Formats: sequence, C-alpha cells, structure tokens
Amino acid sequence: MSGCFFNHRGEKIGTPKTNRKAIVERLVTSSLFVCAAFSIIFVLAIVFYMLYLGSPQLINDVLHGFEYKEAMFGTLYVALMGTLLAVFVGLPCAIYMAEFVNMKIRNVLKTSLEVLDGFPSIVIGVVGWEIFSVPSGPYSINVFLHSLGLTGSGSIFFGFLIIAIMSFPVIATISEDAIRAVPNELKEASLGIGATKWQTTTHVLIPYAMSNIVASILLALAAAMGETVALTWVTGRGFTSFFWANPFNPLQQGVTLTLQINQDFIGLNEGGGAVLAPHLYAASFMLFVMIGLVNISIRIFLANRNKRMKI
Amino acid sequence: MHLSFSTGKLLKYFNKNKDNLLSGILIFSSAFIALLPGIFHLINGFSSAEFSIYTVDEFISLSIFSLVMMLPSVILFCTAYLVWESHSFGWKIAIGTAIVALILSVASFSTAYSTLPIFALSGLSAVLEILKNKRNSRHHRDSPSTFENVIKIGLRLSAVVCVGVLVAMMVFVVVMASPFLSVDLITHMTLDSNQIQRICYGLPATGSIGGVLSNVIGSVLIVAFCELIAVPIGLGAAIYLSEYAGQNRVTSTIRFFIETLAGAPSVIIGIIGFAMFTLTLGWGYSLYSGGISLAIMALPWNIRVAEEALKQVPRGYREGSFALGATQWQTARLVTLYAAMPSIITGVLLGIGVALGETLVLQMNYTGAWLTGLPQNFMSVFNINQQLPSLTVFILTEPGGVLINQGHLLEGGNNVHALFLSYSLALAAGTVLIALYLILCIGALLLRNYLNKRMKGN
Repeated sequence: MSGCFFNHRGEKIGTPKTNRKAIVERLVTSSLFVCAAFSIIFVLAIVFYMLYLGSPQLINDVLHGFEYKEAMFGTLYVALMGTLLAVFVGLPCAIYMAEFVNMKIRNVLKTSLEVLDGFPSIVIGVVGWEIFSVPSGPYSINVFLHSLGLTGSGSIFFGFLIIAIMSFPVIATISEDAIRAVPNELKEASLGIGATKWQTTTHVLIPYAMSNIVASILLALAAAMGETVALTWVTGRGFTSFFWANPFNPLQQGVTLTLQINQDFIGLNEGGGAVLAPHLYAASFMLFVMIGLVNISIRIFLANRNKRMKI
Repeated sequence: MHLSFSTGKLLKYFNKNKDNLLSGILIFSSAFIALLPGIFHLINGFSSAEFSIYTVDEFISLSIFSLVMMLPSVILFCTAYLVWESHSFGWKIAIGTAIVALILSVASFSTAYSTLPIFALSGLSAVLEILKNKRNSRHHRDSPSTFENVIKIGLRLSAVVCVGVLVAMMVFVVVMASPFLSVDLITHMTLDSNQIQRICYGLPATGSIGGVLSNVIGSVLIVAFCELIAVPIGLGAAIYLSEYAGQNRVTSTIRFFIETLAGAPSVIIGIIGFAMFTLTLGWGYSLYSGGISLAIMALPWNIRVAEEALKQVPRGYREGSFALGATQWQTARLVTLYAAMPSIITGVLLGIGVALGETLVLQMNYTGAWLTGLPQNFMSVFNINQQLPSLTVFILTEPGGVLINQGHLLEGGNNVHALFLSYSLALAAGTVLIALYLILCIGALLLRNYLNKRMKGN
C-alpha cells in the first residue's frame, strides 16, 4: 500500500541493516498484524457464539419455517422505505453542497450533517416517541394524526420517518465527497459546451459518482437494518393477528428484528430465566446474515464498477 | 426567480405569457388553497381551550407542524411558475398533484375541504395546457433557465431540511425538558422522586430535584475504559493496513472482517457480550464486560478514522524519511503518525461522542437496573459483578413514568398531563447527553484547526 516502497531489485526499502533493529522491526510488524487480526477474532467469536447457542432453533427454523418472519419482514420494510425517504433528502443536499453554494455555507451544512450523523440515537428515539406515540398526549400533532386515521400508539410509518432522519446524513456526506471527487475537466467541458449547472449535474457528475452514491445508500441501508433504540417507542410493540392480510400497510403496528430481540431479552432477563434462549441467538444470526449480505453486495458492486471504469 | 414588482414589468410579463394566464391562475389559486390546512390548524390550536394550559412547548410544536402542513404549497407555487413560463414540466406536475389530491381526499374526509378544490383546479389547468399543446403543435423547446430556478428552490429546501432537523430536534429536547432543567442535574448524584412528582402535578418544588451526576460518571468511566482498549488496537491495525500490508489476500480478508464488524448492530454485540463476558466468563454486569463489548463496537470506527488520516499524509514525507536511512517502523512512528495526529485525535474524539450515545450494549452488560447509584467505596467500581449507572440506559428506562408509577397518582390532579410531563425527565437527561456530545464535537473540530495551524507554522 502507500507505506511500502521497493527498489529496482524488488527488495523492500526500510529493512534494517543491524541485528538489533531487525528484531525490533519484526516484533513491531507481528504485533501490528495481531492488532489488525483482532477484528477477525471478534467476528469469528460472534459468529461461533451465535451458531453454538442458536443452532437448535436454527435447525427448527429451517425445518418448520422461521419463527420471526414477521419481524424479518418488518426489518426489511422499515429499512428499505426509510432509506428511500432519506435518499430524497440526502442526495439533493449532497448536490447542493457540492455544486451550488460557496465554501462557507457548505462547511456549515457539512458540520451539521456530521453532528447529526453521530447524534445519540436514544435521544432521537425519545423525541420521536414524544411526537408520534405518546398515548393521548396533549400535543397538537395527535389531532393531526387522528385526522389521517393514525392512532397515537405508534405505527410502522413513523419508523420510516425515524430511519430517514437517522440515515440521510450518511448518504449526504458520502455522496457529497463522491460528487466533489469528479475531475474538474469533465465539469468544465460540460459547462463549456453550454450545458446548465443542473444538466451538468445530472449528465456528468452523478453518472461519474454513481458507484459511490449507491454504496452510500447501501451503507445507510445496512445501518438502518441494525437500528434499535431509535425505533423502540415508535413502531408499536407487536403484530396484530391480521398482519399478513395486508403486510405492506404502513399504518399498522409492527416490530423489527432488532426490537424483537431486545424485547425478548429484557422479558427473559427480568424473569431471571433462560437468558441463553436459542431463539434470541438464532434471530441475531439471521440479522447478522442479512446485514452481511448487504455489506458483501457493496463490495462486489464497487469491485465490478472499478474494474469497468479502468477498462 | 427574477421578478421585480413594478406594474409595467408585471404587465409585460403577463403579456408575454398571455396564453398561459388562465391555467397559471388556476394553479396559483390551488397553491393558496394548499396553505389553508396549515392556517386552520394554527387557528384551531390557538383557540382551543387546552392551549392555555400548555405553554411554550405547545406553541413550538403547533407552529412546526403548521409549517410542515404548508410545505406542499411550495410545490404548487413552483408549478404555477413553470406553467406560466410554458415549461412542459408544468402540466406533468399538475397532473401528479391532481392525482395525489384525489387520493388524499378519498383517504381522509376531514381534509377534503382543501384537497378536492386542489384536485379540480390543478386537473383543469393540466387539461387546458394539454389542449393548448395539441392546438399549436409546432415544436416547443423548454427554456433551461426556468427549470434551473425551480431546481435551485428544491435543493435549497433540502438543505434547509438538513439543518432544520438538527436545530428543531435540539430546540424540542431543551424545551420539553425545561421543567427539569437546572444546574442541579450535574451537581447532584441522585434524583429526588418526591420533587419530581410535585413538578409533574404542577406544584412548586420544595427543594432541589437532584441530579444525574452518578449516571454521567458511570458513562464517562465506561467510555474511558472502552477507548483505552479500542484506541491502541485500532491505531495498530490502521498502521498495519496503511504502512505494512501488501495488496494480497490476507489484507483483503482483514478488510472484509473489519467491514463486517463495523456493520454488526449494537443489539448483536450486546447479546453476544452478555453470553461471552457476563455469563460464560462470570464477570456479571461490570466495567469489564461492558467495556470490552463497547470496545468491539468502537474498534472499526477507530481503525477507519486512523487509516483515512494516515492515507492523507503525502508520499513525499515517507520517501524523505526512507532516503535518510530510517527503517519502516521509524518512518511510521516519527513521520507518518506525527503528521496524521491532528486528524486521528479529531476522529477519536468524535468516536468517543458516538460511544457515549451507545445504549443497548450497556443495558445488556453494564447497567442492569436503572436506579443503581455509584457504590459507597469508589474503588469498587473496578470489581467484577459491580453494576454501575449510565446515562443512556437511564433515558431508555422511561424514568419519569417509573417514578410516577411508584407513588400513587394524586387525587384531583391532571393525571394524563402529569404522566406526559414526567417523561420530560428522560429528555432532561438527554439534554445532558447532547451537551456532552456537542462539547466533544466542537472541541474536536477546534483542536483540529489549532493543531493543523501549529504544524504548518513549524
């Protein structure tokens, strides 16, 4: 990588000549490698524990259908729709920051986006709960919600909104960097032949930066699938028995996989009983696989794209 | 839009687009009708009997939601402009608006007083436009600058939303928490439930409500412990990946695992930490099981931040160092790491801010029950099986509601309102959390500027 240099014979530069220095070098290299390998150990330990503790339930799931299929559907539905909403706010904001304003305003926007990116999700959760789902609260939003046919006890639709707020900073910041990284010559050529700013954006900048924009959206999707505390009070506490009659209705209550795991964990923990219950770890494994699939698709997508761009 | 309001110019403008006058006025009036629900909402809110009871917070939420309800009219004003300038996008948006208005009026009858006229007006103007386009069938070219103006409004709106969400959220938190906000929050160790009940029922407090300092100390302790583990490992991994590793299969495998760890949600880390450290190793709810779980969570962040900072260091720095005969480790330690230090410190500080907001990992490994205070003997925080309080879990457990439910509800009081106010306690703790987070963020940015300036000066 950037730190390695080689001479014309292919030998690595920076290899120490004296014996003592060589020992130090070797020790340092191996200990740094161990640091880098720690994440492998952690991931393998996590996967091993999930499989070890959850295998009875996983085998049962494969044979008899998944126990948490409603929650899995809820995770996908909430994350996809929330990210879709976030794209409609985040992408225009990225374009605006990259192309249409001066550096001063851009810095203000970028800073506020970065602050919002790391904002404690528990606070967003409490705010969402105060606005959307406080039972019979005195607040005017409840009057408005009742006129739309929503009750004050939470629904999947509010989950979309919360996920959108959580994930548009990710999309906006990464996409802005991608749009800014487009070579200036391309932009100048487009403006030079008489295209307007917007035409340049849609026909030159966005196609060039497309791979990173899509990667940012997938990244936000993976983060949205793992979101828990921000949704705790917003989507309602469970499924009604007629859920499968119309699963895509966003006005009903529902839970995501993460909420279901957390809820069951707290329930079992308070009882003091079987906290190593297999179904918790089986559900965690399913969630881990779903998020892993999104991550792998980002990798494959970026690799393919880079290969094509080089040719 | 370059509209200046002198009569002569206005007449000229109308003359230029005489064909589009009728359909433009139709859309324009439907844009005004779209303002109505927000205005009615505002008037209703102010004139309702309940409004006199609830004060500033009610006013803010009322105005915010009225403004949100007025937002669709912006689209209609833009459409009117497009139709006036005879841009082909105008009638397309008009058709879309008509369809949405029809669906809304069928879905909820209570708003039909505004959606049905909007449907009729925008549909009529769209039909007029289409008929006109058919009549003069000569090839019509849209003016790009018209469209550009509208696009700019849309982009500006999205930027306003971005900043507005942050500002509105912080204002909302502070205003909602206002009954419980005082300096006592960060000077007193524990809360006084009697005073909290008095405030919830609108009675004057007879003493201090107490504070959440013990929770703050618990949060700071665990984040410090977590970063003590995560920063050295993360820094080592980043140095290895950017300075030592070649482009081979081992490196790409390590990168893949780091990305996977970064994608693992907190609920999974929490539940696995519970199985591994709390139960299997028998550490119980303690600084160690919570801290190591949190360190696993924070590790990918630190690696990414440090690696990006190291990549920013120019190639020439390393070449110069090698040319002087330095070894790889000397170059990395004395040149590359030193040059990248401002960005690394900034990233680590931001990471501390993110780790402070982590909830589920702490709930499963650190703070089992929310009312635990700090132990009598402070040194026993380092024992195993020692539960400690933390700010985020305190917020998660809906403290005000629990305190209200512990005591009996007061006779003759407004119980619904009391229960609602009691949840402000969570937001008061949230204000403390946000303050810590913002101090870290701003401190990090200022420190980066200062260090960058100093290094350039040298």
